[in-house]
Formats: sequence, structure tokens, C-alpha cells
Amino acid sequence: MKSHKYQLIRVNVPEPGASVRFTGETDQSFDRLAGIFVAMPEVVKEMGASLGLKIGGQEVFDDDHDVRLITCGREVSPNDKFFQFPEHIEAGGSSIEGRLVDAANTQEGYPYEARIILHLVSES
Amino acid sequence: MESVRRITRVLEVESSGAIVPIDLSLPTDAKECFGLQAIVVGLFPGVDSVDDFGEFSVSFNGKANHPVHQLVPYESAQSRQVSTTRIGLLPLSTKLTSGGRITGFYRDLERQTEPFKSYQVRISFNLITE
Repeated sequence: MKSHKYQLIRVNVPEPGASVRFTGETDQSFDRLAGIFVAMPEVVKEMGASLGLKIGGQEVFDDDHDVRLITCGREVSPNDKFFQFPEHIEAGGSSIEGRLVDAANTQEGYPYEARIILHLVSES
Repeated sequence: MESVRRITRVLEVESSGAIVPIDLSLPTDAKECFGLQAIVVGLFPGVDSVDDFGEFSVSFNGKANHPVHQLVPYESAQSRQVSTTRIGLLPLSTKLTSGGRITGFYRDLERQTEPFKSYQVRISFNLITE
């Protein structure tokens, strides 16, 4: 039977246009990364922001990857918000390396916290 | 072993009605493009959500395959706030020849009100690689 975990990564964005690197490690108890969702505090913060991500050294998104491809409208139900990876991404205790670039659309609302949620699954 | 790569290419649009050429290369280990999407980067307060902010045309393998000539929409922050959808991929199944170039264009469809604000378009290619 599959088991699931939703692992939260917090990224603090201090100022407009900031490029913030973050690191971490996926939970060792789970085999693969099945999905991802990024929550920003305001919709305008999504418009033009980008997220690069490597898991276990494997590039999942390049540095110019638009955040809107892994977010969705605010009225989408929580269980449908995740971008689902079609490929197998090893995740058991893998390193997480990422870079979030703020779009600097406004001068207000800083600092803020972006939240990246990884959907991890284990098949056994 | 097959894997997936997502490659983003960025175009700069500097004037109303501009036609921006696309001339790109993809990694040599890419063997198929299974989807792509073009997204307008920027906030345009005077523009409501529109289906036809721009259009783009993309050919693969040195113009041997021309699977995409499509509109590029703009979704305002207000629309996104109440949206019940996500931005997906335009599905493709285009086999790639090693070293084959991607060519085409993006054209601004003059939906901004004056003054024109320069913007970027991100094109995301989803690739199966060896």
C-alpha cells in the first residue's frame, strides 16, 4: 500500500527581486517525489516568479521555470493543487537544492514566506 | 535510462506588435518533446485576462516539424485569484533529431494600452532525454 507525506519547505523572501537559495533533504522514509505545490502569500507574487529545483543532484526545474506552472488558481481544491511529476524522481533522503527568484511586481508585502510542499510517496 | 528535463527559454518583447524570432537549441540528449507552454511574464494593470496577448509558432528539427502555432494568453492577477484551474502543457509527441534547431517567432498582438511596457515570454519545453 502506498504511503504519503507532504513535506513543507519555507523560503524567506526579504525584498523585491530577491534571489533566494534554499537547501534541505527529503524524508528518508519515502521513495519518490510525486508532486509539488508552491504557495505564495499573494497572487501578484506568482506573476513572473521563478523556481529552480534539483533533487539528489537531478535537475527537476531549471532556474527560469515559471512558478505559475506549479501553482494554480486560488479556488482549486487543496488535493488538486499539486503538479504531478510523470517521471520517477528518487527522493529517499535526497538532497534538495533550489532557487526562488521574486518577480518584484510590487514594493509592498516584504518580507514574506513562500512555502514549497513536496508530495512524497512510498510504494512499499 | 529515460528521464525528463524541463528547459525554459526566455524571449524579450520590447515594442508593441514586435515579432521576436525564436532560434534555439535543446540538449543533444533530448529525443522527444512531449509538451510545451508559453507564459507572459509581467503585470499589466490596464489589461484584463485575454486569450490573445500574443501568438507563437515553433518548428522542430530545422523546420521539418511544425506542431505549434498557438495564441499566448494573459491572465490578470484578479482572474487568477478566483481561478479554478492550473496552467497545463500543450501536449506534443515530437521526436527530436540530435542537434536539430528550434525556430519560429513570437508576435505581440498589441493588447497593452499606452505606454507600452516591455515584457518577457517564457517558453517551457518538456523533454524526454536518454
